[in-house]
Amino acid sequence: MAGRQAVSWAETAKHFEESPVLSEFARPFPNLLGEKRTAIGGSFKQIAAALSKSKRTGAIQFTINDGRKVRQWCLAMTPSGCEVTETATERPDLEIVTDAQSWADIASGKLAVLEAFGLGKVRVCGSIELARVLARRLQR
Amino acid sequence: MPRMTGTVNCLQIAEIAGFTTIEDAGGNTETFILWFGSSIPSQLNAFTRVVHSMWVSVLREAHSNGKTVTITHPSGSAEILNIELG
Repeated sequence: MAGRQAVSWAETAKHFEESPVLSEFARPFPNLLGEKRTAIGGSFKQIAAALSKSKRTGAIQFTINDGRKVRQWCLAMTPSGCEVTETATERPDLEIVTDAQSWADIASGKLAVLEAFGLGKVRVCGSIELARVLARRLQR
Repeated sequence: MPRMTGTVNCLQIAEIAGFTTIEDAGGNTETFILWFGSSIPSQLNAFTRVVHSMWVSVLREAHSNGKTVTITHPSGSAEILNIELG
């Protein structure tokens, strides 16, 4: 849509960081990939570790399309911790849908998840509150 | 183009961004973008502003009266292309 790309993210991010409901999503995640940017599966283990101390329970699914196939990781948050498996769950509480390049940019801290969402690179299905828990835990 | 039909759970409006969350009959929800990142009003043309205003009117009507809307969006993106009421 006309006008969406006209303002730099740095300028836009300032506004979002002042928003009580969007500020968590405006800041980039820490680097979850390390040196090997291609090993995106490792980023979900890092997320599971960050979520393991959360009291919140639920299932978060990441659906990543690399252009050839769709891969899915499920993070099961239980009272005893958070476990990640490369499987699909039938009814996740939160699903993040994106392509492999966008996820690599998000997980390496180059792209804020809110910017990716605004650029049309990410879809968010399900609980925004759970997404907020995820973002808060990763930024600790 | 993917489409989602459901009721309006949430409508969040700010100058910098507008979002809506739709819930389908199966209880699945998804958040969609009405507009995003346009912090300088002069960079949005009048026609685009009118379209955004009409989208908000349609969503408000649906939310107030429990009617369903159908959202059309690109595959892999939450950007709204079209909103139908009823």
